[in-house]
Amino acid sequence: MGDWMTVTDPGLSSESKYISQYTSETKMSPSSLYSQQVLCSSIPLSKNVHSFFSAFCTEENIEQSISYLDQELTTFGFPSLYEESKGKETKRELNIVAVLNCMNELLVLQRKNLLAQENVETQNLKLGSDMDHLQNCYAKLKEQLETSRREMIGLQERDRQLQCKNRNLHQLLKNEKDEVQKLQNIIASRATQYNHDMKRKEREYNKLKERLHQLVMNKKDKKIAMEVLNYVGRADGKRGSWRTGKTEASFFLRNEDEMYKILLNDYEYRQKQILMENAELKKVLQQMKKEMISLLSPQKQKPRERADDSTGTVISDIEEDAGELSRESMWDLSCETVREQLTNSIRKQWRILKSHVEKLDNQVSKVHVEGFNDEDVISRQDHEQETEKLELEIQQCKEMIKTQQQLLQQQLATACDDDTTSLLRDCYLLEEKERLKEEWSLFKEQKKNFEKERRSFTEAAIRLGLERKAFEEERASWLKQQFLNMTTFDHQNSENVKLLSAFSGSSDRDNPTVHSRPRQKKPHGAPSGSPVCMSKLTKSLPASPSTSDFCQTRSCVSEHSSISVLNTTPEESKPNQVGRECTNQKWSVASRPDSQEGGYSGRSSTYANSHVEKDDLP
Amino acid sequence: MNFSEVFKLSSLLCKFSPDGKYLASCVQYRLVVRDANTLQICQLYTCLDQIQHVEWSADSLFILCALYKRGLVQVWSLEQPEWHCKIDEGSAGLVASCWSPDGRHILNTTEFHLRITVWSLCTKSVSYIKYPKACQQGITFTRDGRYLALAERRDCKDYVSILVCSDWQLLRHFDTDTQDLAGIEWAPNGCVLAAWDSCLEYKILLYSLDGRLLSTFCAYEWSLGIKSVAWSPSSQFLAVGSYDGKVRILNHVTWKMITEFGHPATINNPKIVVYKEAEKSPPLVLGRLAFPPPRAAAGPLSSTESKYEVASVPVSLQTLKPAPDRANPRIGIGAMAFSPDSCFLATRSDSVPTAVWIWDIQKLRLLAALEQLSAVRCFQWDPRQARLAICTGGSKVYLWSPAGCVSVQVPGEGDFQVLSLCWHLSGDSLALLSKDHFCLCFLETEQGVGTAFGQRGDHT
Repeated sequence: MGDWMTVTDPGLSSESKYISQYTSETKMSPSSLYSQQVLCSSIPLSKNVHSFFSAFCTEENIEQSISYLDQELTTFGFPSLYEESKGKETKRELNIVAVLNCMNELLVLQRKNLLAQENVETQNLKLGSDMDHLQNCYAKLKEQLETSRREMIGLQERDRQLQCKNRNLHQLLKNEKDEVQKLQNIIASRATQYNHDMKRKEREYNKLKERLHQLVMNKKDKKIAMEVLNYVGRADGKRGSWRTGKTEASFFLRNEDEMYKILLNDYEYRQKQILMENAELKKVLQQMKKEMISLLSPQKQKPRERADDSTGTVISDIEEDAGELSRESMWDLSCETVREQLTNSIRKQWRILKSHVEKLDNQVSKVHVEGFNDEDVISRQDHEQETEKLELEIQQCKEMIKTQQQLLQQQLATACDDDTTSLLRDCYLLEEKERLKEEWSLFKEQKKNFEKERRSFTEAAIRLGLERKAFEEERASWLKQQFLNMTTFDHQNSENVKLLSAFSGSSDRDNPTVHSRPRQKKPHGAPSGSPVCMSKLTKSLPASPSTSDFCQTRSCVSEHSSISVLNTTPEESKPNQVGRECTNQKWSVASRPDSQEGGYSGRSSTYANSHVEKDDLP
Repeated sequence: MNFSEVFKLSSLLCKFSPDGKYLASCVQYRLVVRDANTLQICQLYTCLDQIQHVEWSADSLFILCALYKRGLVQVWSLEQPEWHCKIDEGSAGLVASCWSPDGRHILNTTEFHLRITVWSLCTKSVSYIKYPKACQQGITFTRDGRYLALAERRDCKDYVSILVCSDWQLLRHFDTDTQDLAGIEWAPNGCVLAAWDSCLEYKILLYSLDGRLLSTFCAYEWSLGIKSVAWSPSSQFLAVGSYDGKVRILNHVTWKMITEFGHPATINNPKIVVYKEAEKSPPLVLGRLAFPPPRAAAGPLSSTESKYEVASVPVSLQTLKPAPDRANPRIGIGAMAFSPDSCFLATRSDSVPTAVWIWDIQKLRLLAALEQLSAVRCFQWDPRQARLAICTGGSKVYLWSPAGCVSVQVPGEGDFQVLSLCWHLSGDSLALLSKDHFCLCFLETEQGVGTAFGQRGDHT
């Protein structure tokens, strides 16, 4: 409704304006001339109105203006400004109320008009923007249209070009084809010509050859000859026979015979081979068939039990067929008679097998859907049982190994003689042997360590004894000296003795330091008694300063001995460079026999070993 | 693997006798016959001129020496050293000479292929065969020595004559449907004759002994055709190598193609073992080098050692671009050989000259490929087992067996360039021929191949 109002109002107002203009023109209002001038001069409306209003009513023409206004207003349908006069002649009174009402109404009207104008203006603006937008859109679309049109033109152009090209290519192809055809023709003609030429040349050549042959062969060439000391016998021992007309024919026949014999033999051989192959294939087929039947026969029971299935009857038919065939001993039959039966039965069986397999597949899928089957559980149980069994077996084996180890240790402890151990060893399996060997070497190592310890102890004891002896000697010498000092005696002699004793004392003191080192270390290595510890020991030797000291001192003291060792065994020392570990082991083996005694010989050998090692060290 | 001492040799003429007892070798105009085992000289014969061809008779009793330049053939007996025979072809000239399978006749081809003269050592009789065709392989004997097939050319047409060797009677004579017959070859069973056309046309014809055409095979037209043909020892397969770089295997039942072996330059299948020869710098082992000094190091060792490496697929082989403007282009299958058990086929494609392909005939697929450092000169199967010996003109000999491959340096001072090789009948030894020397290589056992590197120094 409001919209309607806004739409209608402008028209009304414009109409009223027009009307007012018209009326002002027709009615000769006092300021009509002026106002018309104003209107014509198109001064802005507000100013115009203002000036109009300012000029409209003056002191003189109030009456006239009022009456004019009244007239105007009444034409617009307002109530008259004048009061209803009773008398005709009486001057009509100005009705203030009506004037005010009119004014008010006019003002209201004015306001409404203004509002309407505003609305119209906004509407106008809106429409203007809409218009702009639409114009933009239009421009854009136009542009698009233009571009697409251009594109289309471009494409059309390209299409035209391509078509042109295509036409050209077609033309070229045609030309090429023509060319090829032409070339082929040329080639063909050349070929024929070539062949012709060749033939001609060959004929000429043949003629020449013939001529040459005549010339060379017919002329009794003395040179063409064979010089043989004596003719040798034929390889087959027969004598060559003279050819005569008769024999010629017989020869020919014989040759033919032989040739055909050879061919026949070959064909027979091939036939035999083919027969054999066939027989084998038949065998395979038969076997397959049997297997199929055996595979299908248990299956056959089920459908029979359930109902007289079509498959069941088919199978029984097949079985009968098979029985027949096997009775007939089909090997001897030619393929033609058997073939049909055989292929038919095989085909039938194959169909059944196929359906059976499909059924099985379905079952399997069903089983998968249903979940676990009884069989599955059983298999798992089986599996578990199996693993348990295997584990038990492993346990048993381990126990066995343990007992064997114990036995071995016992034997070692009791120091069994070598014969029995070797006997025992022989009855072991190879693997066990290996393991035992390892253990054996380990034990040996341990033993060696123990022996070393023992040796060191004995050495210590000996050393103690020596020391004591030295001490006693010293004391004795001291006593002697004192005694000599007391009693005036030869001086030189006593000094000599002292020197000797000092030398022996120092060397003895050095030795203990050597062997006290390993002994200090040994408590670490001995309990475990492993070869690893041994190697550690040897490796740690150069690191410790005391031993290096020892080395120096030792080398000073016994340079002679070490050199002699090196000189005597240069080959042995070389491998030492390569594998120290290895030699250590070899060593232990070598020292084994006399290890029982653990005496001085073993000790000296350890010395040599240490020397060698020391020499290798940087 | 042991190597014999190096002996002198000229023009690669060195042959084991068919019974395997002797070894004949030629030095200029001298023929030396040695014991094949001890290599001691058994006989020494002196010919009139430089020997150009040597051939043992089938019974190993006679040796034929052809002196083509003089048109002479000299025959020597092993049993009677004083026995001699000289055949002079006179002005007719001589281009080829060979034994007949009975070892009592000699077939001499005169110049220009005017005729073939058959000389008998038993009687004074001389037979002539006219119109022999001058082609790649125009004479072929069946393995049992009964028949001779001969390619002929008369009136611009190809013919094949089948003759009975015992009395040189013509058995069959038929024309072949070929433009220009290039070769004929009997199947090992002696019942089928393969005849093929010249390289201008792919055509192979199979004839029965009685002259019937059994089958014709043509793989393609309008291109260079057959380059090499090989029968399998079982007569079951016929391998046809052609200029398109393919080998086609025909069967003996239908004479149709069973399969086609292409020789691509790249091998992608991971199942195929590709052995690649690689140069190896000699390992510097201090212990060995110090004492005693190996002889190889003392001599001028010009070539480095090599070994085989198993290359990982895909492998691309070196291909040669054929010169299109030259005759006899280096493309196509130039050499083929079946192993004695017919299980393997070794081939060489001339466009990939450094490679030897070994095909499994049972599975009809490529089994292995060997890529050498230089072009393959010659390869030959061990007559007893599936073992292939290869030479490349270098100082090495290569052996392949299904178990693997080995490259063996031929010891000796200087370079011994192995240009050719031939196996002893027993497969125990191998004669290696260089330009003017030869030596024997003894392979005692299977292990000999495996430990070849270790015993290389056994140079006596």
